[in-house]
Amino acid sequence: MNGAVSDGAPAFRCSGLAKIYRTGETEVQALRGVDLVIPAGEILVLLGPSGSGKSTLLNIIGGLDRPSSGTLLYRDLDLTAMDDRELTRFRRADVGFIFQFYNLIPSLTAEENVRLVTDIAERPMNAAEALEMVGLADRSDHYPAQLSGGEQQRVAVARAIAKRPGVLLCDEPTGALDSRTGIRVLETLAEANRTLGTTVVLITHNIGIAAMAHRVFHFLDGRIARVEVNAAPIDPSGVSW
Amino acid sequence: MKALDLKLARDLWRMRGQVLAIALVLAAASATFILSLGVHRSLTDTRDAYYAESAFADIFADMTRAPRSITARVAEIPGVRRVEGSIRQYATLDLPEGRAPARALVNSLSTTERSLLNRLTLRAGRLPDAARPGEVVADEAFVAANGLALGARLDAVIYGRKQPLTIVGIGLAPDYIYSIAPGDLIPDNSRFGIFWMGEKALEAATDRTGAITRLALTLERGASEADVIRRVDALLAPYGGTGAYGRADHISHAFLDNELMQLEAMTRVIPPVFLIVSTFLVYIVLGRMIQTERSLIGLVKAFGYSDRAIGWHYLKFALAIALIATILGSLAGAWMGRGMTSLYAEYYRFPILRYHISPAVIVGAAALAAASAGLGALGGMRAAVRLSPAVAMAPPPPPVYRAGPIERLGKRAGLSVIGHMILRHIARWPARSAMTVFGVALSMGLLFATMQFVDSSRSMLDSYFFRAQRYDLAVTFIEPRGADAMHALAQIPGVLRVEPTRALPVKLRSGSRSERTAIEASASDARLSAHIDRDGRELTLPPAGLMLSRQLADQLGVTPAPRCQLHGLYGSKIGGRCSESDLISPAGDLPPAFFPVGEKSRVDGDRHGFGRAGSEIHLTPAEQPQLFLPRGGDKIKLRDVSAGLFPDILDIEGSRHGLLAGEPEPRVSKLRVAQPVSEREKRFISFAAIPPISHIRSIDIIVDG
Ligand SMILES: Nc1ncnc2c1ncn2[C@@H]1O[C@H](COP(=O)(O)OP(=O)(O)OP(=O)(O)O)[C@@H](O)[C@H]1O
Ligand SMILES: [Mg+2]
Repeated sequence: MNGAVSDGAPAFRCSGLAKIYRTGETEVQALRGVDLVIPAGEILVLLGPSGSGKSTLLNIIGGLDRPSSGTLLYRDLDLTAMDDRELTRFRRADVGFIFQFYNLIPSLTAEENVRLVTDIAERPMNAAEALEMVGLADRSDHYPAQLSGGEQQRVAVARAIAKRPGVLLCDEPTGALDSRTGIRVLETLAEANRTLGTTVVLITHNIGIAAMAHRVFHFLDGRIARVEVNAAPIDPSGVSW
Repeated sequence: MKALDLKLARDLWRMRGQVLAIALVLAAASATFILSLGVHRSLTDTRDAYYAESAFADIFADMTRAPRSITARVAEIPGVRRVEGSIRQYATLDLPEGRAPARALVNSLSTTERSLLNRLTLRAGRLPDAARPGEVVADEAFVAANGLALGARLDAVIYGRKQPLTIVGIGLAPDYIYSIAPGDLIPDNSRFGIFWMGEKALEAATDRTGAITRLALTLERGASEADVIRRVDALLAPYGGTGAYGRADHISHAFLDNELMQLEAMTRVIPPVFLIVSTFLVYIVLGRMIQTERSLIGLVKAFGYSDRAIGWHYLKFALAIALIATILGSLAGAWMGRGMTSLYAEYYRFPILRYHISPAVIVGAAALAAASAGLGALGGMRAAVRLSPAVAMAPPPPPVYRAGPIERLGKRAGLSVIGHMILRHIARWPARSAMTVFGVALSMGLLFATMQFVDSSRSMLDSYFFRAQRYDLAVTFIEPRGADAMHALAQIPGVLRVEPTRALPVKLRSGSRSERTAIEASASDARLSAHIDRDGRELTLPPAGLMLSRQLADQLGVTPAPRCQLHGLYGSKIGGRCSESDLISPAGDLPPAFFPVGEKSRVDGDRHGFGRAGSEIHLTPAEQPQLFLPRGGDKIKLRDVSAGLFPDILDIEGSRHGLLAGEPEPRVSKLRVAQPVSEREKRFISFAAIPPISHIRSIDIIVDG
């Protein structure tokens, strides 16, 4: 199922997507009906104030969480109808995750962290190859503690792309990085999009990054307030921080 | 190796301190399990094989003297397969100069035909030559303990007559796998030996031509032991039979059996405690680990690892501990097993006693270790599996702390901030805290339980040797003796006090329960052997009736107050049956340290016939090893007392301990005496009057006929 196609067909389609968190007495409406089409092979940026539901949406389309109501399709798969085991299979085969705080396993080297994913993927690339793509081939034996924050995040990118996922979901991947290292990470994401045709969904608070996206979704209060289509996305190196 | 397994291996290494600690606790379980089960199996297998090969008998019977032809009549009893008669006789041995005399139990050995039962296994040398009466086979342990060799010569006093012996062979027999001298607390190979002598030679030495003193027989499959015993007893009654008994009451078999039971108990008691403790430890360590790895678990789940893979990952952590424990435990178990087996080799005389651990035992230990660690991992695994990948990505919400009742108490007590943190932490995870407390409590319990073994055996030795057994020397006769013997002994210079005792083998029956035991009689004012109760108080014998040890009373289901009936004392005087006699059993609260009457009978039950029961006379020794005979006044050595003083003396036994100093007594004539057995410190003791033997009135037993 995995592998990217850049035929303009939608990767995700959702309508009326809502998510309500219940903790004890209180209810939080994190998503209040999101209608959205994500075309395959594009780079998308989600912008919006804190608490507007961006991470919630990303978790749901990545199969980490389930919506309270609404429909959600990945290509022709109905994610809302899947049981836990099928969702696990979906994540394993099609989704690459990148998080703000790298989330590398400290007791494994860079290469072993990548292998954590390639061990169970269906047609993965070589771990060394993935590290090569992010320009860290020479650091493959280093433990996370021996790498800088930017390098760690690039290992996380290598780990996410190593399985050749259909979609890369990135929650504030540059949130903890300075502009230079941030741009370096964005370049690897753009490279994956370009060479592998991977759909990239990227959450950020940095409006400058929106310039590299094909499409920008503006979130407000659990809804998509506005969609911007960018006819000429710029190269990440031109992103103003 | 898979990356996740690499993480596991590195986690194990990073947490090696904790891992090793748990593994050691678990290894203790495995080791004791392997040790006790392994030794148990080795011992059982060895015993069974040896019994089968050497035709160990099913029933034994001792008598004063019966014609050899009695075996033919016993053979006719339905259910009896093979019968063999023999002579057994205690003897006193002169060991090389400077050594205290030792004792031997001499068995007759059929020289014309191969023994049918309880076959002797020759380890070295040859069987005695029928033409040379002084030739004997000696048991291996005695020979080794005394540094003897084939061809060694010893002087023995057999049946009151001195006779030179030559050791021509070294052997073992299944009825002496364990042997202990009558009255001894622990076996002493150097002071008690088993000898085998040609049948004719022993007949001649003991004036028993054509006679036997012991029967051994095997049963047909399915025969009733109780029935056969009843019939054998009826046949032997006229010959001073002391009651036939099965393997369960055979001293060698019973001790071995007891040992096996202890090993079994050890298997059942000790490993479970370690197992439970390690389950708790795994639970606690893995629980903590999973809590700190929440985001990591979520991450791995986000990558597409299944719940099962994650549960298995943490289970592997526990199983790795179990594996380490099994390896350590097997090594330790095998090592301790070897040590324990060599310890057994000192006490039990088997032709071969090899410790082998069967793979099944190790597999069993591994399964137990895996189960206990796995059980401990279960809680953590469940938590890990339950974590949703999305929730796991977020840090754990801060736990809800509340000021509990304990804390409010603490507040009043003016606790510091740190104190509050500790209290809240304990109260926040009550299950974990309770488990920790329970685990530590169990370990402490184990520590106390094992350390008390040392204390209890010390206390037992103390009450047995120093408080109950105060005499220095015990003299045993073949026939009961009267006041003349008491006076004669009292005449020996250095002897301060002589007290008579008598032991009668009996079968006590109350309702449907019965026990083979011995009744020990002593003067009501006896002071050389005391009866001590559980609280350490000295008990005086009741003026009439019978005092039972608590254990025996429980076994018989006898309560102190009521009158109970004593039926059928075995082997009554001559051909007689014993009448019933009513016995009152007042509260006898003897701790097990006082050899319960039941134990005592096992030790020397076959030494005393009922009608011709041996009397024990306790006396204190002289300072010098020389005694003056009252009659001729010749100087003789202590070890010659048996030959010179009383021709029918059976045994002289030195107690290891003397009278306690400063015993108050009228008519004091203080004397300096040392113990004859070891050159221990000299003691001042006092002189006392000798009670006449007719004073034994503490038990009323009516014998009719
Ligand atoms: N597990 C949860 N339980 C309860 N409420 C939650 C949970 N996760 C998110 N929320 C709530 O849902 C709303 C949307 O949260 P979400 O994390 O999607 O916002 P966000 O747009 O990603 O914000 P930020 O930019 O700060 O990351 C918030 O009000 C948040 O408090
Ligand atoms: Mg967010």
